[in-house]
This record gives sequence, structure tokens and C-alpha cells, in this order.
Amino acid sequence: MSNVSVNQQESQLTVSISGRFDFNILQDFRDCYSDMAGSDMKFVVDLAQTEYIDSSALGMLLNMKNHLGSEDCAIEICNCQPNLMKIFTIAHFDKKFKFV
Amino acid sequence: MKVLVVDDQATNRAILTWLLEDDGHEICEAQDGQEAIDAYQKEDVDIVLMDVMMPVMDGLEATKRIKALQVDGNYVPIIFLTALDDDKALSQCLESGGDDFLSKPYNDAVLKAKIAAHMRIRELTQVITQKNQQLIEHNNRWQREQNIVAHIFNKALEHNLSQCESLRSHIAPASTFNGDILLSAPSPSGGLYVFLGDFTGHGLGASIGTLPIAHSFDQLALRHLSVGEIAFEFNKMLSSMLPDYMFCCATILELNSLGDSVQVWMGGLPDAYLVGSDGAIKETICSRNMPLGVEHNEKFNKGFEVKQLNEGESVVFFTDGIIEAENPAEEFFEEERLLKCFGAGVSDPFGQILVQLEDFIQGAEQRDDISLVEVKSGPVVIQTSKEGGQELQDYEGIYWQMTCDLGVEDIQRSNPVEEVMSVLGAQTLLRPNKDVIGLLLAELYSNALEHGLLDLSSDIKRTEDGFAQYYQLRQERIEALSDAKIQIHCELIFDQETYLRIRLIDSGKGFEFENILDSDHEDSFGRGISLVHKVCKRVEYSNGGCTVEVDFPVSRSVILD
Repeated sequence: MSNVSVNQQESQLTVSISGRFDFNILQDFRDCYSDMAGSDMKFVVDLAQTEYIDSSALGMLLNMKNHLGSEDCAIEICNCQPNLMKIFTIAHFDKKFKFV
Repeated sequence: MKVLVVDDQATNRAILTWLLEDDGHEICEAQDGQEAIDAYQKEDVDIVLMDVMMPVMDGLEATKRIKALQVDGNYVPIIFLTALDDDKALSQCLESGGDDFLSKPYNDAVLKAKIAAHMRIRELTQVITQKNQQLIEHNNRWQREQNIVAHIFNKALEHNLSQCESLRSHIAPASTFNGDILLSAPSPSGGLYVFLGDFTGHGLGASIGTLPIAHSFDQLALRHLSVGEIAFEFNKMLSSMLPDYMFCCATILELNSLGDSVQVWMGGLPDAYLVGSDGAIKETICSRNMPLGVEHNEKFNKGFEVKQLNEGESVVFFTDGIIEAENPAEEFFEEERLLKCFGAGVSDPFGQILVQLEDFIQGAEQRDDISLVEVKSGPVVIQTSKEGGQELQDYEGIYWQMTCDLGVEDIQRSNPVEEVMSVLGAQTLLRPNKDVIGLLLAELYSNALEHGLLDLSSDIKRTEDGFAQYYQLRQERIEALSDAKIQIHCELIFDQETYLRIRLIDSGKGFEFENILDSDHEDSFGRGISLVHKVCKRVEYSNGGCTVEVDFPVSRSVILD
């Protein structure tokens, strides 16, 4: 029931995940950004329709960050529901990503 | 037929008796007005033939009194047979309550025809009286049933209306039963769900569908589903329940707890408006979906829109009853008049719509249910009513434990954590933390499966490609499993503090559990188990790493429904 969709507008790439965010969408998730390394694009992960995350999702987000390179590359996580925010906070992800 | 013959002349009575008995009528006789009244009361008379001038009491007076006795629609015709033939006398006969007259000497055939004509009227009257009686009884029963159903509807729907400053509404049903339905419920994250629906038609038939919707809305809200998921669930329910020609146009909205963002799903209702703090329409939100109860489940689109709400902004939405409201000249209110209620400088468009609408309708009969709703930006504060939630400081639950033994097929077929969570999540004490408990269980299960049973090493995950390879291997090894077991055991421990104790035992070779990694490193692995350490009071491995037992602290302060 999971689904990954991409929307590229000018200098912003938005990846939206609906349903469960875990290793089952690993390939689809990687495909969204794999050829973007080094670009000055702004990346947004939209979690408005995400119902669940686990540690593999955290790993996937870190992989994305590492893949896209520079420390200051902007990855924003938006529309994160409070129940998921709890988990990001426990994992200290609120310090590693920009939540909007 | 029973004919009452009233005449003081015995000869006249005899002639009439002889004449009418021939036609099969039953005759009873009276000599004067008083006797006529007595006979009328005693016998079940169908028609009266009345002489005018008689001793004791004349025919006019007797007629008045007999007519006064005829109540409850029992029409007994009185025909005057009189020697008088001046207009004045004849009109007196009718004024006294007589139904017809015939001057003596009368023609036999005319008399018989008149009797037959009046009998037809009497029979018709009897039928109408009977039908009236049935109608009254039916109406009484319907009224009684309406009262019962109205009571049920009110109870079912009022329960859902929580007091909340973020929500403002105007609801005007066209009849006792409303085919429009407005529901609101708090979301588990502190936000607010609002559902506005309009069933086809109005009245009882339309409102019947509102009951299951109202009933399941709270449950869906508790599950913290997206507005698209809620729409999907309602669609599934309604399409299996409603006849083909019935459906429900709806707008579902979730305001987040800060009140600065809304999720909107719309199916078939008129455009909603995002209203700026100046009162002007900032954005129009259109319906992108079919109404609920139309689309097949597999075609259903759970997509929805997310809109940011700045301070002072709001979302206004409504059912088509407003646009189609009619004035006495049978003109519609229409979108154009509605749009004029918004605009820079209008301090309260919602109030303005109500004023303009009332002004327009001018008391004309309302044809359809009207509902208007405003959801305002700003932090959501929901006042739970006293009968609603009750906070209990020291909830004493019962002790329970649960054990699942998962075999190879269970592991290969599905993710059992979800199923275990659906049981745990329903527990009063665990519900507030079910997201964290779900994560905890998922991480413990992944560890038992991946490191215990599948012998996968996290080292593979060091590179990005390795990360993918890891999950590829995971899948392959799961499919190749032939003999394996994982036992999940959960129990609630009431000690000085309360814990949810979770124990997992796998049938694998064990793994090196001493090397717990720090979660703040930048590697994309090793995070799961450190999450477990962060949320649990105690994490203990034994049995060479095949058994793990954790205690998750649970607060005994709960809100009871």
C-alpha cells in the first residue's frame, strides 16, 4: 500500500511518500534522487500521507543525505505528522534534517 | 337499508312502508318528531323520510335535533315529504338541516330515485370517513416513529460535535431529518477532523446514511488516518450499503494541532474557499473526486491537498443547499451572490453569508438542507464535555499477557508486527503511545529476523549500494527459510511502576549483542536497536542473543471514554 511519487518544479524536487515508509519502497525512493548528486536542487520529502516509519526509513533518509553530498545540501522534511515526529525526535533526526 | 318513516298519518306511513318494502328496504315508523328522535337513537337508521307538520314536535325541529346527533362523519340523509309547496316552506326544510324535499303528492319513481341518490352519498361518506380514520391512525403512528428515530439521530450525531473554537457552523435541515451531516473529532495528534456530507435528497431517506458515518467517524479519527484514507473507508462502507442512486457528497478536512495547515479531500461538494485575513478569497479549493459511494474501491483516489493557513485565515465550505436556496420568486441564491459576501474589508464573510441568505430567502419554504462551515487557523483547543473523557490518575487495568508463535509461513507471508500492534494499540493504557510501541516492536522483530534467523550482518549496510543489497538478501533468505520460529510475548506488569514487557525469542544461532552502536553516528544502520534503548527502561539479551526482553514504561494516567 506504499507509494512514492516525485514532482520536480524549477529548482525544487519533492518526493512524496504515502502509506508505510520502510525498506519496501527502498528502490523507488532511491530512484527519485540517484542521478541528482551534486546538483544545487532543493530537495523536499513530503510526509503528509505517510502513516508509518521505522529505522530503515531513517537509514534511507541518511543515505539520501550522504548521496546528495555536501553537508549544506538542503533536504527539507515537510508535513510530518506529530506521531512520526515523535520517532524522528527520539532518533535525534530533528537535528540532522530541516523539518518544516 | 333501514328507512325511518316519520308521519302523523297512519295511511301515509302504510303507503310508504308498502312501497319501500317492495324494494327490499326495512322500515321503522314514527308518528311525530319526538318519536323520530327516539327511533333514530335506538335503531341503526340509514335514511329518514320526514313529514313537516306533526303534533308534539314538527319535522323541522326533529330534523335539527337529529342532525345535531350526527357526529363523526356519520351522514344520515333526511328527505322532507311535504304538502307545502311554497318556496319559503321548502327553503325552511333545507335550513333546518334537511338534505332534500319532495312535494306531495309525490311520484313513486322520483321518490325511489332520490332515495337511491342519497344512499350513494351516504356510502361515499362512509368510505371517506373510514379512510380518514385510517389516515389519522397512520399519521399518529408515523409521528410516533419519527419521534423515536429523531431521538436516535440526535443522540448519534450530538455525540460527535465537540466544542472547539476552530470550528463554526450553521446547520438548517429542510425537514425533521437532515440529509446533511457535520461531524468533528479530535485527531490523536491534537488536531481536528471535520466531515461535512450531503446525501442525495433530504428527509429520512437521505439521513439514514448519516448514522453509520457518524458511528465510524470517531473510530477512524482515533486511527489517525489521512483525510484520503477516511474518504476511502467511508466510500467502501457506503458503496456496499446504499442503493445505486444514492451517494454522499462530502468534504473532509484535518486541521493540524498548530492550526497552520489543513488537509482537504473533496468529493462532489461545491468549491471551498481559503479566506485571507482581510476577508477576501485567497484560493478556491475544488472537488477533485466523485462523491462517496460511487467509485469502486480499486479506482478510489486517496489523494488530498495540503494548504497552509496563516494567522487570521480560514477555510469556508458548504453544501449546495445554499447556492440553490430559493426566494419567493423562485430564484436561486447562486454562487454570484455568495461570492459577493467575501472581499477585502469584509470582517466576517461567514456571518455575511448568513445575513445575505436570510435576506434573500424572505421566509420562502426551504427545499434542501443547508450547512455552512468555517474552520479557522490557530492552535486547536478542544473542550471535552464532562460526560466525554474522564481523566483517571491511577487506572487499574487488568493483568494480561499474549504470546504469538510465528512459524516460517507466518514470517514469509506478512509482517506480523502490524497484527500484534492492532491488538496492543486497542489497550487503554497503551493507546497513547502506540506509535512508539509499534516502532519498538518493529525494531525488535527486525533484529530477531535479520540477525537472528537470517544471519545478515549490518556491516553490509555501510555503503549505499550495500544498503540495497542488504534488503535484497533479506528477501532472498526469507524465501529460503525452512525451519524457523519467532515467539513474541507481551505482558502488562503492574509493579511500583507499570511496564509493557516484550520478549522475543528466535530459533537462530544468536548474534553479538554486546556491540551496541551509538545512534548519533552518520551511518545509515545500527539505529534501530539504539532507538529501543532510548525508549525502554530495561533491555536485556540472553540465550546468546536469541532472547531479548525489554520493559517499556507505561503511564497509568489515562483518559477514559
